[in-house]
This record gives sequence, structure tokens and C-alpha cells, in this order.
Amino acid sequence: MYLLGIDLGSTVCKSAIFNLDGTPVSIIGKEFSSALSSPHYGWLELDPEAFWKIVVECISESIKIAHVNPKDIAGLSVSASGELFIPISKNEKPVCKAIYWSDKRALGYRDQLNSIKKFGALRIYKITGYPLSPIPSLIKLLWLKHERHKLFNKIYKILLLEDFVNFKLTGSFATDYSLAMTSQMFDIKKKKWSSEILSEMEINEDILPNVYPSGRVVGEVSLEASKETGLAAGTMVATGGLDQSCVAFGLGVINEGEAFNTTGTCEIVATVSNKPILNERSFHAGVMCCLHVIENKYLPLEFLPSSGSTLKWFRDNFGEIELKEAEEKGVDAYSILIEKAAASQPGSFGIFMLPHFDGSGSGYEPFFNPESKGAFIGLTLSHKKGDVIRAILEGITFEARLYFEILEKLGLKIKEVKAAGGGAKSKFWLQLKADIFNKKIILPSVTEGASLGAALLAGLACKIYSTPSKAIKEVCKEIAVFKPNRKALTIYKKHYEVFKKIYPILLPIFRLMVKQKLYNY
Amino acid sequence: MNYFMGVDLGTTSIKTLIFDERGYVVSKAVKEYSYIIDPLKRTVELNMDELWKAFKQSVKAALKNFKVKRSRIIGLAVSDQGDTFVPLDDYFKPLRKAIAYLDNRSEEESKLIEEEMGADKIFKVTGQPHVFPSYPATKILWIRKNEPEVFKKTAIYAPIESYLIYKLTGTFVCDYSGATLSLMFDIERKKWWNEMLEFLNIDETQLPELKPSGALIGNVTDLASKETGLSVETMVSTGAHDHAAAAIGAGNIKPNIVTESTGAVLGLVTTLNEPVYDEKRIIPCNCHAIENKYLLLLYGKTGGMVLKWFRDEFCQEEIKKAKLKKVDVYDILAKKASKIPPGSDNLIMLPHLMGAGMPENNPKAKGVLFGITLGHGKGHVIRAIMESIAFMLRRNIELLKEMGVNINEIRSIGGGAKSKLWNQIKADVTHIPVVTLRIEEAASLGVAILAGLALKTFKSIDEACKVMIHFKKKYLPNLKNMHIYDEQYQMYINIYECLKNLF
Repeated sequence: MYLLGIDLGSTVCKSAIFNLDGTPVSIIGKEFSSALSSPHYGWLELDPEAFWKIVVECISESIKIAHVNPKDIAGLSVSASGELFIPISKNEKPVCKAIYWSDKRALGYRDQLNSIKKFGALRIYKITGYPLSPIPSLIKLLWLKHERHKLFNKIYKILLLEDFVNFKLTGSFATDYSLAMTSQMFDIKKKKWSSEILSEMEINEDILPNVYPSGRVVGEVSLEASKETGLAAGTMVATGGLDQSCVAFGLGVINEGEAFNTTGTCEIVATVSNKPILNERSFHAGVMCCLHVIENKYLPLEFLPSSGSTLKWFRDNFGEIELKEAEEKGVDAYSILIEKAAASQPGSFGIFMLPHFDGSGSGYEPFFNPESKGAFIGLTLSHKKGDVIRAILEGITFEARLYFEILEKLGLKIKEVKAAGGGAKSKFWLQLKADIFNKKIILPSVTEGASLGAALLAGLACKIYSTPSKAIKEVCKEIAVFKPNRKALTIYKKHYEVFKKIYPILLPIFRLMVKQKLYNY
Repeated sequence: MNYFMGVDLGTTSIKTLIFDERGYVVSKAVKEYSYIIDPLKRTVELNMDELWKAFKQSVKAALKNFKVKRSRIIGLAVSDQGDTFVPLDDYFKPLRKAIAYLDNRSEEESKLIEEEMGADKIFKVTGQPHVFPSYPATKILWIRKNEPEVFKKTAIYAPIESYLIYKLTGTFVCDYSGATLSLMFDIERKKWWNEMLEFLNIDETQLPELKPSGALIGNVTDLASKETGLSVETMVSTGAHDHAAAAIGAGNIKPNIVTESTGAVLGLVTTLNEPVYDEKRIIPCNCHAIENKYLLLLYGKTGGMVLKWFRDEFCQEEIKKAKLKKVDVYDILAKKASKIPPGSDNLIMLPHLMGAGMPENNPKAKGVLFGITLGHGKGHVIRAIMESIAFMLRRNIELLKEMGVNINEIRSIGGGAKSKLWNQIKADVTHIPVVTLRIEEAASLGVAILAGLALKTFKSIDEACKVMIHFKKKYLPNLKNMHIYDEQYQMYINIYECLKNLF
């Protein structure tokens, strides 16, 4: 028997088939940037049908190359990035394209943010766990309501990415708690849509999907979906979860004291809490109180929108030589870039990098500030390319340290950190994390935890595993441990103190740039 | 037709150009030379035998391509970096290696001189607002302390130009523009400053005789003729400090014009009818190479070197392509930058990769690339670098304005002037027209003009410049771009102000 996990990330869609012990049989990943388009500067939209096609390709290819009988796939679940939703009409067709989470139209949704402020930013946070930000579904839904009234009136249901795939596969409108949380309309304590928010924002609850805990049966793969995807008709589909909560599960991060750090397109830091963290302090620290896919557990999380994307930016714009070399040698260009960074020294000989290439993250107010941009500070003529690359890695990792510090200040003790995402492929970066965080970094056998986490949820739904901890015992293995190096630690401690000052120092300039209309969204 | 030879001792090479009477280049040769650098002792020295050899090679190479009778070269003059000098013994042999202006051994002596003599007085007499280790006076004091034998035996402290004129004619002279940078020269009285000489415990006879620029000194001696291939009929005259020479070569001989040179570092020179002393104590006031005129000298700590750094570290692919296609790699970079809108989509660079020169004067300042998004590419960074040098230029022009010195025309010289894009950016950023010259080597042309004046080929400096200097292109500021840059320029200043305490 096998389990299938689908992971809908922020730029890549993956379908992975696992043995019951967690070893992958096949993983197919495809970028869905072709389904994204930007009609205006700062706008970014997803074409749902084009996106669905890519999901279908991933599923069918993963079945094909795994050489398994589709009937042996006991069940599947979807892990998805949050916030983004697809509005569908009564005839079950998309009403319009979906607004991508990082979309910056309408001056970064100034008016919509004002409506939330009117409601009370702290008040909405205490209900939903979602801090004031232009990212959650509610903001985009309000924009449609305010600016595209006709389209808004046509909406029959809004489906988050997981729900959309669940719907395409089974015909049911179902989401799970952890994903619903990213809408900023879900009461995370009561585990239901918040009537308080919906009534004040004048949104009809009927347009929202039904909400279930993760790992509950939604339905079976329909005949039509079976033909499209190659899945067997009748295959069980269970609720999955928010990608980060699935990652946590897949990495085996389910108890207090355990944490993880994902370096993918975004940089994410999260830890487990048995209680919701919804106080004023966590609000001002930008902590998103996510829901774990494990029932009654919470996943306070902080994130930066641009992480691996910044390194990719560097590779694509300044790494022609490395890309060529990589092609000739048949290796990854990132590994060549990182080799150059490794030849530099802790502290990159004095270069500091503000990693806000796609706006700021949580951690500092204002959060998710689209006005904030990236910067390199401290350049001199003696700096080499490797120093700049290292500064990128360090800048991102300093930001992640900031996030750990914030979580710990809220009383969440963190003993060790599991690494996930593309960044975990680099041993150098893992050691750098250990040195900068001053924490033990554990590299698990599966760093693509999201699809494994989703598969495990399907396994729980069809009773292959009796409890989450038993599932983890079966599948989670540690490959390597990285311990902080004392010498590097001291250097980084000093650099980190400087790093922390940069955003507050530059903030007035970013504001001025907006005031002078140099930044226009 | 008569000809003039102009020799320019640049920081890294000796450029010899032969001009005809109308300012056209008939022959040109460049010979590199190198310094002996000890980073630990912070010393930068020159072997005088090597330098003389390089000078001879450069002159010989230029003469080789000169197909006319050598005696038709009626005049010769040299420009140098006035603040490099060598102590000579009674037989006029070097007692040690020459100490270059880049040499920083005399930090302590600089402080001592400033304290003992008083910065105010030094400024009033010499025009130099602060005492830096670049000045020969500080190094003479260093020699007195650290090399007493050399100090005792020195018959003459010769700037490089003086030494070369001596080698060619047997006479020791120094022009006012070069003497200015010794810190021992009274710029208004045009005399060696006795009080400073007394403080250093040296005698006026240990310094070359002072002359204006473009003063006739004498014929090339037989010995020098044999060594260099120059005709004994060629008359040598005093040249100038290279900034002054380049100003003349660019026609910057009256107020309201600034010559801007984007070489490795950005330099600005403007001509004054009377000395102007900067109240803020930033800008030195020097003697020009034109009688009774003065010049203000402003310089950054960086300039074209920032683009060179970026080219070498991040443009290996373009370097390869340029080699393959046999084009200048800077042209490829400029092409990328030209596709980016003015303002580089709000990417702003602070070019202080070696610290900030004027007006910030902050050796601790560093380079900053500000406002990066995932949408910016290489072309953006290149353009932002070019714009940052233009911002640096504007800051210095505004500094001049604050002193009451208004500029209405920029003459661009140096390597940067080759870039049309860069020239236009400079015009747009500063709101001032930028004019380029046919000849890149403005300093060589400047001293050739001085040689022509010495020989009375021209009646006046105005006439000489009119005949000898040919302009290439005038870049007018574009109104729309000016607005964009005005806002960015404010940001450029703001970013520095915000970050200066962090550096």
C-alpha cells in the first residue's frame, strides 16, 4: 500500500507517493509560474484552470514513474500554501483569476487594511491568529467586494488551494482548520468561521467551504477526476492542511520545544505550542498563530516572503558563469554559488544584507511592509562575489534568528531546529544556521516535509497509522546534526546586533520613497 | 608646422603625446610604471631610476612614430602629481626612493604640523584646509626623525616634475601649481613659506627655484638628447600639476566652468580669479597654471573604480563576450544600463567603496546598494552605479555653490567621458550641460599648450585654448529626467545620513 501527498507551494506544485515507512517512491515537482501573470505593475494573478492542469500533470506523472497500481494508493491529502483563494460561481467555474498572496495592487491594499484597522487589528488577531497584513484572503476578498462588485456578487464559494483540489477530485467543498486560519476569517479557538468578523465585514458565510480537522475523509476520487489524473476512482481523499503545518508533521515537529526552519521561496520559522498564542505581545511581534494539523496544537510562525527567491534572483542576474559551469559539470548552480560563499568568512568581511527583496516579513512592525526593499550595506572594493553571496545567506539567516528570538521571548522554549526546504540541501547553509541561531540543527531524511505530512494525514484518515506520534515513529529519521561552532558564534553575535538596527534605520527612507511617490504599486 | 610634446605622469603610467600647432595628436605613447608598496608600513615609493627609464621609453616610443624632423618639436612640458618627491644629494643623485603622494607613513607628523603650526594659519597661507600625509612637508619631517642621515645629506627636495626638468635641462625649477601641494608654499605671495621651512628645519636653497607654469627653462642637453632621442633644439618649459594641466587642456581657464574627471576617482577642478577659502574647511585652494588664477580641487575617494569592481566581480560573462567580439566591456555594460529607465527603478547606490571623499569626508563610509527588489537586474545595478557617481558630482558642485562659486558648464575628461550614457546622466543629475573633448589626455594637451605659450607661439592662454582644444559633444539636461533625479538625489543624501553612524 502507498500514500499520496500533494504539496501546493508558493511557486511549485508537487505530487509524491510514499511507502508506509515514509520512503518516497516518486516525487514530481513542477513550477506553476506559467499559470501566474501580472496584468499591471505589482499585480500577480493565478489562472485556476492552468494551475489545475499542472496539478493533474504532477499527479499522473508521479503515478506513472512510481510503477504502482493506482488502486494500491490507500489515500491522498493536499498540503497547500494559504491565503490564496479561487472564487467560483454557481455553475462551479472560476469567477475570475485568483489574486496571488504577494500581489501588491491598491498601494498594498491600503483601503482594505484600513477596514481591518477599523474593526481592530488586535481584535481580529485575537480571533484569527492572523496579524495585520495585506496577505490573508479577507483582504483580497474585501478588495473584490469594494473594487469589483459585480464579480463579487457572482461568487458562490471561495476555495482555498487545498479546497480547490479537493473539489476538483471529489466534488465536495471542504477545507481544514489550519488552512481556514489563513483566511483571517476563522475563529481558531472555537474552530469555526467567525460570525463576528463576517457580519461586520458583510460577508455571507455561505460562500465559505465547510471546515474539518485535518486528516478527515472528504470523499472519493470521482470518475471524471480519475480519468484526468490516473488516480483510481474511489481513492479516499482526506483533508490535508496548511503547507507549514504539514511540514511540521512531516518533519516530526509535533511537541512543544520542537521547531523547524524552512528555507524555500520564503523563510519560515515555527514552533509547537499547546495553547494559542494570541496576546498583545505576540501581536506586536507579528507572530502568526497557525493551527497545527495535529488537533488542539498550535504553530506560532514567523516568515519572510523572500528567501530562496533572493538567491535565485542572484543566480539569474549575476550567476551566468556559475550556471554555465553547473551545466558543464552536471551539478546544481546553487552549489557552486554556495561554494564561493563558503570561501568567504563569517560576517562576509563586513557586508550586511537586508533581505526584504519582496517586502519585509513578520518580526518588526510594520509587518509585511511592501515599502521595505532589499539592501547591501558595507561594500568595499576588496569584496568578492563570494562575499556578496555569503551576505545573502547570512542576511536571510539573521532574519530567521530574529524570528526565533521573538518566539522565545513569548515563552516558547526551543531546544532544537529541524531544517526543511531547498536550503536544507546545503550542508554549508545548515552549519551557518547552527552558528547564527546558536541551536542544534537537525537534517531529517525527508526535507520536503509538506507532501509527506499530507500523505501521513491521508494515512491517519484511513487508519494506517493509529496516532500522529506512531506515524512519526514509522517515518521520521534523522540524517545529520549540525552543532554551533563557538568561534563563528561569537562573530555572528556581533554582526547580528548590527543587522537588527538596519531595518529601523532605513524605515524612514522607505516611507519617504512612498511619500515622494517613487514607489507606485 | 611646429610641434609640442606634452608628457603626463599619471598615477600608473607616463603618457607622451606630440601635438601640432592646431592641437591635433600626431603621436602618442603610454608606458606603465609601478610603485613599491608596503601595506604594513603604509608606504608607497618609486625607484627614480625606473621612473627615468619609463620616461625615456615613453618619449622614445612617441618619437618613433613621429615622422617629421625631431627639431620641429619646439617645446616640451611635463605634468605630474606635484606631491611626489625625492631627496637628492650634492651631486643630485637620489638619497632614497621617491615618496609618493599615496604614501601614508607620516600620519603622526601630519598631526604634529597641524597642531604646532595651527590649521588656520596653514590654510590661510597654503590653501590646504587640513594636513594629510600626502603633503611632502609631513614626509620631510618624517625623514628628519627616521632617516637623519638622509635629512642631513639632502641638497634638494625635488618634486618629480622638477627632477625630470633637471634631467632634461640641468636646472631645478618648480612651478606654482606643483609647489602648492608641498604645504611649504605661500599661494598668494608665490614664495616658499619660511615659517614652515623653519619648522621643518630646512633651507630655501634645498627647494627648487619657483617659476610660473609655461616659463621657458632651457634646451634639452646633449646628454639628455642622447638618452631620450629628443632634439637639443627642443625647449623645455615648466609644466603644471596634473589637475591644473588637465583644466587647461579642457579649456577650463576662467570661472564658472568645472572639469570633471571620472577616472578611478572622481575629481573636480574649477578656476578662480581670486583665492577662495572654504569656510567649512573641506576644499583646498591651489595655484592654477595660469598666472594670478587659482583653482579649487575637489575629489571623491571613488569613481570609475566602483564600476570596475562590479565589472571584475560580477561581469565575467560580459568580459568574455567583449574579448570574443573585440569590443570594450564597458560598452556592453553601458548597453545594459541604457535599457533601464533613469532612476534605475529606485535602486540607489552609495559609491563609497573606499570611504567617502568630498563633501562627506568619511573614511569609514562604505558602499550601499539600496532598494533592491526581485525585479531588479544587472542593468539596474550598472545604471545605479553610474548614477551614484553623478550624484557624487552634484554634491560637489553644490558644495561649490555654497561657497559662492557657480558652475554653468561641465567639461568631462577621463575614462568616464567615453560613455555617452554616463555623460547624459551627469547632465540630467546636475542640471548642467556636459561637454566632452576630442582628446582624452587633457593633461598632456594642457602642458603642450603651456609649452606653446612659453615659446610665444600663442599670444595668450585664451588664444592657445581656442586653437588647440576641440570639443566633441555637448549633452544638455533633459527636463523629465532632471525631475526624476532630483528626488533620487535627495534619497541619496538621506540614505547616507541615515547610515553614517552605522558605518
